[in-house]
Amino acid sequence: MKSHAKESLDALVAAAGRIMLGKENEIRLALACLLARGHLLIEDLPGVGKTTLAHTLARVLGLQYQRIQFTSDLLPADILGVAVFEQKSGRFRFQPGPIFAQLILADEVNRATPKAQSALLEAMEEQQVSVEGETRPLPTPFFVIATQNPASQIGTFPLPESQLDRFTLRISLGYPDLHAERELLAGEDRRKLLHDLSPVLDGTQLQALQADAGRVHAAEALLDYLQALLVFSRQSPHFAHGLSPRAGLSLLHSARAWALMAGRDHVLPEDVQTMLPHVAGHRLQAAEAGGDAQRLVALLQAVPIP
Amino acid sequence: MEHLRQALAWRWRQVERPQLWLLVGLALALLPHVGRLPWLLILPAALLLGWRLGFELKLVRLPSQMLRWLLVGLALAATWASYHTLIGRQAGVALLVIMLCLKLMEMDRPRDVAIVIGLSYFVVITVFLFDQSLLMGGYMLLVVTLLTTALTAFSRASAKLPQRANLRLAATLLAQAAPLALLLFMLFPRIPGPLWHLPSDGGSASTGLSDTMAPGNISRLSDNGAVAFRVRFAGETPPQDRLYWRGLALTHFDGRTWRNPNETRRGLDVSYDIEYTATGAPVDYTLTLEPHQRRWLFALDMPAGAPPRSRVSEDVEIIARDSVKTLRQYTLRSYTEYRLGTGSAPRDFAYLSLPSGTAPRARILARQLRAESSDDADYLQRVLDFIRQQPFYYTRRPPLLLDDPVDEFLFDNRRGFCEHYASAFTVLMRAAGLPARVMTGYQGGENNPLGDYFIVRQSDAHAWSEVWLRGRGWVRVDPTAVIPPGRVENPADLERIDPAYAARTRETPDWAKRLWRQMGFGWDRVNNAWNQWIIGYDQGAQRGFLSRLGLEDVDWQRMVGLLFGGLGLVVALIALQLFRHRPLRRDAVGEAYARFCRKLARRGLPRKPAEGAQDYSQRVIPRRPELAAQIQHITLLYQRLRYARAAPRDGLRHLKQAVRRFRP
Repeated sequence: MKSHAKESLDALVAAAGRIMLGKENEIRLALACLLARGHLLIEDLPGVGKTTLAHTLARVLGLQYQRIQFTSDLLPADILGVAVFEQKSGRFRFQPGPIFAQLILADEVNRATPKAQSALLEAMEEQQVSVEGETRPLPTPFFVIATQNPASQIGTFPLPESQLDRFTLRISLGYPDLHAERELLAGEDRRKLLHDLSPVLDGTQLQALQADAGRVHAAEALLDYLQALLVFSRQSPHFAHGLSPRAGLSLLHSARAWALMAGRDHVLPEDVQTMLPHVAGHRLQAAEAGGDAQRLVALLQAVPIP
Repeated sequence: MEHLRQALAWRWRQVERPQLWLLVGLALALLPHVGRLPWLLILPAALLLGWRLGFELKLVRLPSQMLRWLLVGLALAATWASYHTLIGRQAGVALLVIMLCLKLMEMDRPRDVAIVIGLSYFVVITVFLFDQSLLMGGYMLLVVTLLTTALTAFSRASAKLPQRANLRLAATLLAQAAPLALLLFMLFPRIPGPLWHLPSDGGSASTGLSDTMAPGNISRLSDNGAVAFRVRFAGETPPQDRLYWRGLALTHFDGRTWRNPNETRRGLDVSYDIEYTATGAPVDYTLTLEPHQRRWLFALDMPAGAPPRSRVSEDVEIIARDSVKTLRQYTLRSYTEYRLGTGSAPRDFAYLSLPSGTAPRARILARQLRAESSDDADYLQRVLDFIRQQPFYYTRRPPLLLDDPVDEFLFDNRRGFCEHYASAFTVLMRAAGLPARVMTGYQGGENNPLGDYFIVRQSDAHAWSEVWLRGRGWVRVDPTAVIPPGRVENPADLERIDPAYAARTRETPDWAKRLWRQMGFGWDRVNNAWNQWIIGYDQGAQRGFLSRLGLEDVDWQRMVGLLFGGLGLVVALIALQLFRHRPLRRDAVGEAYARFCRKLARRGLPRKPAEGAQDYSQRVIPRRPELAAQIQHITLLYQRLRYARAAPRDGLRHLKQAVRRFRP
């Protein structure tokens, strides 16, 4: 079962890798996030392929895909949907918003006002939306990829810590390396390739994989290590505040998914360490002014494995 | 009822554990002071502790600031009322205790907690001002552990760790502090004399020998097994019947009470040369005296000199400059065969004086016997014969003597213990014009076969006489020893009166008694070692210790240098250990894998503490490709055993085997 899982996941990564050149690791991280039933935050400069990654994943996974471009005038109703009066029947009919899809790309989420942001984040957390007093479930699987420009860019509303904590992983893509960039420049049009891409999995298979990921074994020794990390972040004077229990769960779930992708039925400390920068990076704040989260992650990485 | 129990259980769970550690630790730290401090202060202290506990249980509120000021005033008043001072050992400790308990009423910020814990440590130290025994030391170690646990629990309160983790951390901290404490203990410069020069207070009771003796006033000789002193002989041990431990001479008699004149002659701190001729081999020994709050020291009859900070009196008593308030150790030389004061007759009239009107019948007897005797020595012998032949009995419970203790004892009831005999005998000597005095001290002692030293107990206290004979000087006469064994009431007393007879007739004790005795010797041995090495570690012992390390004549500046050098070394060693930081491994799997890592570390490829097994193997294999198969095998086995759901069969054995065979 597990080797079968690894095969299909490898096939997924290979298919996506044909579009996202030289970004295999990032694809794997995104996939791990999806398998952990989490949501992904991609933070990077414009034009490095954030949108392409989201779109590619939707294609190879065979998921319904919606893209929401966040702008400063975006309203919650633009995301969730709105009840429209239908003259023919003389009744209000709910017109679902773009959030009613399996894979949502929330592009440049930090350009919208906090009001619009929180509409998305609440939907992420609850996996349902309440509009006009009626609760409507969102489809499963439900996976949000939000992209964010670095906060230094003009005209942004940085997500507050409480909102950041809801993203299981944060990754950045970075520039392609020389080889990949040459291929990108010389090769075929990505958009055409994307269009030709056929799904590798269907919805049931994806849900089966998610269930598999949940069954990956985390031994006592592994949980000891994980708790040592959490305790360290809460005790060390360098941290403004420790990692939340939700961060701990995110770390465990994503490490499980990572182990599944490596074809193992148990989690190793290495899996935790691989996920650690992506789980902790956006959640930590240095106690002293001007301290950066990178250093804090490095401190966590140095916590001995019990 | 059930409802109440549940409510209390609920409140109990509400109590913050760090506070609980602190309250328990503080209560236990105060416990040894109960009975030492007046109830006027102990009761309020207990009440305040209870108040704080009630507050933690959310049953009561803490007092307002006004009330707190009032309580402070009352505490000061109570201390003053108890001691009429606020300083000194007892009053100071009492004030510390009560004020610390008052601080509990305003302990709400971390700073207050730090103060309370710090002062609690100080209370622990004050206990040692009163009691320096080994048992108390062990008890206080427990208290310090609790207080340190409170400290760790407070400082890590936000981490919500299990309380066992705090206890473990505290124990680790104390264990790490132990080498530093040892070093400070050994090298901190000692000052000669007692460390505590606090104003003494009158309340403390003295133990051991008194400087007065009134036979007939006591109707019962106590059987106090407390240790008076311990002696280690450098060479051979003198025979039991020569072990007379000289203490005080009682020269002044008022018809009922014998007194030592030293207390009245206090200003006259003149040291006398002891003029005597030794006729036997010297006996060297080291004596460790338990504190008895008095100034006199004990020595084997007859000492050749006085230890430092003491002098020899006219009656050959050794009087220390300060009263013995802490354990005191000294080395002396004595001669058990000697002639003392052979020259002229003692000038002091005190040795002959008897208050007029006392002991008329004894005077008649003395006159009668003296008339029959050829000389003084013969008279002395006749008096001893009188005691031997007349029905004198040795008993620990003599009848009370009412009007004239000497006559009543000699002629009416004839039952008593050493004091009665020594007193009556000395009176008989003086009545016949022989200079005589009563000597008090100890006789005999018990050899501890486990440590090769003698234990002399309070129950070995003894009194005998010294009589001056022309040509022979001062002669020790023990009138108690002439009583025939058949007239000793309690067979146990035979050990003292006639050790040889007692040894012949002694029953072989059964194994339980022997074991009990043996355990007693063992425990005393441990206590003796504690006294010798810990309590008795003074300037001299420190010099001796350093000279054994090859450091002669270390002055205090060099000592401080050594101390800090040593401290630096210990801290550096601990730091090195921390940098290497070998994580604790308690399980067999981890142990085997740690061995594998150590083997590679010896080849210059140590595992970083935060490095997973997988990453480690991937880092090591390119450096040692020839070991790839072995490393992969071990790594995989370890990962399976440690992290997989089901361990492979015999996995641990295989892992151990593979690690054993692994030779990088």
